[in-house]
Amino acid sequence: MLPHLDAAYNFARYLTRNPDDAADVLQEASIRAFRFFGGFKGGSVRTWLLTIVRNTAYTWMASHRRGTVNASVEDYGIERPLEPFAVVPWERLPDDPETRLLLAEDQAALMDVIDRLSPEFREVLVLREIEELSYREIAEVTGAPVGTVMSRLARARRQVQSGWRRHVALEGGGR
Amino acid sequence: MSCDDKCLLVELALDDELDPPGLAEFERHLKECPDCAVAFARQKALKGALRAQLPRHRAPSALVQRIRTALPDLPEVAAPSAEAAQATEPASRTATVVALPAWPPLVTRARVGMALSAIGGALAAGLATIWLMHVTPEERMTQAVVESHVRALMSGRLLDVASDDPKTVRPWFTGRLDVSPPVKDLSAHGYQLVGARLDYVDNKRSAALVYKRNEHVITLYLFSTPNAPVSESDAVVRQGYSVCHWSRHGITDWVVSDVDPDELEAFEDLVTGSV
Repeated sequence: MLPHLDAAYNFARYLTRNPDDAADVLQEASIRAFRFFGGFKGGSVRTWLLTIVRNTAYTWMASHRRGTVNASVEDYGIERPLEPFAVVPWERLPDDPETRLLLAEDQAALMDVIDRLSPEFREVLVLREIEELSYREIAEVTGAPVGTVMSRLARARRQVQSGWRRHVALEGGGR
Repeated sequence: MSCDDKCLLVELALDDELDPPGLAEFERHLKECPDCAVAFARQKALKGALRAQLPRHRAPSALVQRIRTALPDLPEVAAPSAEAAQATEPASRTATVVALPAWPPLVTRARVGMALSAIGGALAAGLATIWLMHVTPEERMTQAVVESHVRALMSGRLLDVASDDPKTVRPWFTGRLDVSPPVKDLSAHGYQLVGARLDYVDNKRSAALVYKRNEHVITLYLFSTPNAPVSESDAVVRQGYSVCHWSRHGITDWVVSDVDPDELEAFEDLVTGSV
């Protein structure tokens, strides 16, 4: 379990979007994982731990932020106002956003886009692109069918692209 | 296969979720289809950017230390214990017993209070975890056929041989499988044979026969199981799909569809000839 603490912390950090909450969630999740180790029946320890981290994080966020588990991103108490991504017409873009995304070193802006995804989209994206879990493993962690994982992942990517287009349109216009 | 079907494959290909033949076919398609090629390039760029730029947060060392102190006996717990062995029984009562050991020593009073208030949830989560982790071979197989069925539907690779004639479908498997799968024409009962494919499920070759009933696709997987005793299961529902299986004459059949479980069992009766 200990070798996977970094992965567990990283996942908690993306779910809670806050280092203090991530630390609390990880500590809580570790205790749960420890207590329930008898329930571990083989398979990937990492996937198992990430499942516990996810459950802990949602419980944590629900009880500490008065949100509900299935609530959208607005209910998780982020300080800055959130507005939905406007659809930016392609023709107005200065150049190809995906190319800019590839070349840009604008980590803060990318993180902003990721943070604005609602939790069910953010989690599948993080599990796939950072933790490099397979669809099946993501299904296990999130408790969703594989087909749902696929469609959430596709939607998450589309939202990142449109969020990035918006960012490029706003930033790029002034340059 | 139309381009729309292939477009679904862009992400599957990038996520390493296509099998080698599927990948080869997709790569051939990319050379012919500019739209898919552009979509593929964009998705690949996005994936590269996310992987390169998204920070991988590492657990702060003070936190790791705190957790390490809180869980001093972890290696011993990790070893198979009597409790863990007990918990392999599917009885939830046993699981409850296992789920309630003493709290680790570091837990502060405040934390215990908080934890006690949350214990219902924690217990439920724990039991759910235990249940999730308790995967029997039958359950693993159930998941595998559902996954194969869904993936075939999503990828559009439903059929290797398209025919409503059992006399065409059955010989197609000659040399591809070590059994000759019985293929029945059930159109009189409202189940239209549309064809079959060779599939690989849970590390075993399988003849996947595809039937349709109205708009529902039914996949009937046949495995060669020379030593399997005669058996049959009730239909279960997983992820919205009904699944049931049976064995006879050295062949095990698994059938999966989005029809109701009752209807799937009716289909089973037709296939096994017990009506």
